[in-house]
Amino acid sequence: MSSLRPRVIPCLQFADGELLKTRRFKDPLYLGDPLNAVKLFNDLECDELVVVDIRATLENREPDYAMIEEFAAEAFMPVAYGGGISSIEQIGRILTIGIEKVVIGAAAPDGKLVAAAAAVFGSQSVVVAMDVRKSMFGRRSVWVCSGTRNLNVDPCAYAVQMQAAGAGELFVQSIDLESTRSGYDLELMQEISASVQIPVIACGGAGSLDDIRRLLRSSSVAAAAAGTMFVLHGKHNAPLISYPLPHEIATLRDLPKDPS
Amino acid sequence: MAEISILHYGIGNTGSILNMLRKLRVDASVVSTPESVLAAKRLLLPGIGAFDACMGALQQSGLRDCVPEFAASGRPLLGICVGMQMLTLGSDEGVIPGLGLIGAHTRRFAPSPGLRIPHMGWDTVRWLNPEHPLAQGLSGESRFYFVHSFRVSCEARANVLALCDYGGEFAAAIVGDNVVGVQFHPEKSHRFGLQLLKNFSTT
Repeated sequence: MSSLRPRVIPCLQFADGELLKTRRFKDPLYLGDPLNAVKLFNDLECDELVVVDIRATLENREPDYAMIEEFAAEAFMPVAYGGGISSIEQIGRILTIGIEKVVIGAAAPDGKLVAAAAAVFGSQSVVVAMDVRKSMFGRRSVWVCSGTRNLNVDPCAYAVQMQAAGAGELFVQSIDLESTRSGYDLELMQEISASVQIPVIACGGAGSLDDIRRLLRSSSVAAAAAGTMFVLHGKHNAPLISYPLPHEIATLRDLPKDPS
Repeated sequence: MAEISILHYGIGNTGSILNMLRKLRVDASVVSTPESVLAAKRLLLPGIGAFDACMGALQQSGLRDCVPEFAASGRPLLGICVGMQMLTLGSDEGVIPGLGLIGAHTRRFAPSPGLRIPHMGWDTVRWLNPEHPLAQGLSGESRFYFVHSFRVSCEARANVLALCDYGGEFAAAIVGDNVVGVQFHPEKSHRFGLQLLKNFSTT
């Protein structure tokens, strides 16, 4: 069986023209100019990029098309945009600009927009975001709206439901681990990637290439996404854009050779 | 006169193709009338989503018959992704016939355990004719971004320009005289895609 090498995807948060980084979906840290970050990741030849306007849905406003257009002009790899998407017209506008995929979060649960978008633009353009939080009793549930609205649904059940609605990919993020550098929620990623056939992008908790290696070797996710690890450096969280080299990515999923 | 004219028929990622051609400083324009299609120096046929949706939109736009007419002029024509599949005789995905400019068929991937469809991500290709103008500077390790659920299979080996392997080999690029097609997205494949589109702009 031939298989694709996994994708490694920087995930950038922005709002109002500022590059930001939250921790557990709170306390956004200002990091600079988002367009500059997109240019740098392009120069580093990253596999793909996810850019999320973290305030569009909360403030009930339109996507920042001018900013998105600037991103598209500098990104010669696939880019997924998320934030404030609630209609087919918005999706059409974003894809026309030169963005490949839209990430639907708060507008996804009833499946209608996901199904309509997949029918018009093809499911390869439709990514559903599911943010997952553990309750104090250890039960996981899917949240939307930057972690402010609990859908009270089991992540695997939701993943299957979104696949059936027409999602082409799932962006699964662990809220509790975001920006903690303590590693991915391996159990969650294993369960979700085993319950759907569509590609799963895992996000939340990556602090090192070892964390990504552990994720890719323990589950069948198609991609590892990370924010903090690729935009911040050191214990003082200095803004610094970084990305692994091609040969590092190529061996992330390979198991070490058996010495015998 | 633009070096490359991108055919606009309602579906397709003209935005990202224009962005890359701008980066290359290649004079490009988007065309949507029969006259401008037939007057093009080089024609680029994009396509994304479902085969019938693309062929149907091309028909609706009144530009369907211009494409074979343009190809018959001997000037370069490049199809990208579903745009490449549209150059074939037809697709398992739909019922509308393709343009039939290359003796090939667009087929479903043979089901295989563990093989996830779509084939989405970066993959390497093997050029069967590295001397072809489109392959210049790409014969070494070159990787491209793919996203597709159907794959092209040529009737004659001579029409296969490059191969990729995903659950078996399939045509990553096809060729028939002045007509070429690529299954991957050069406009989203960093310097490898830049090189390929640069090659096309000078063929």
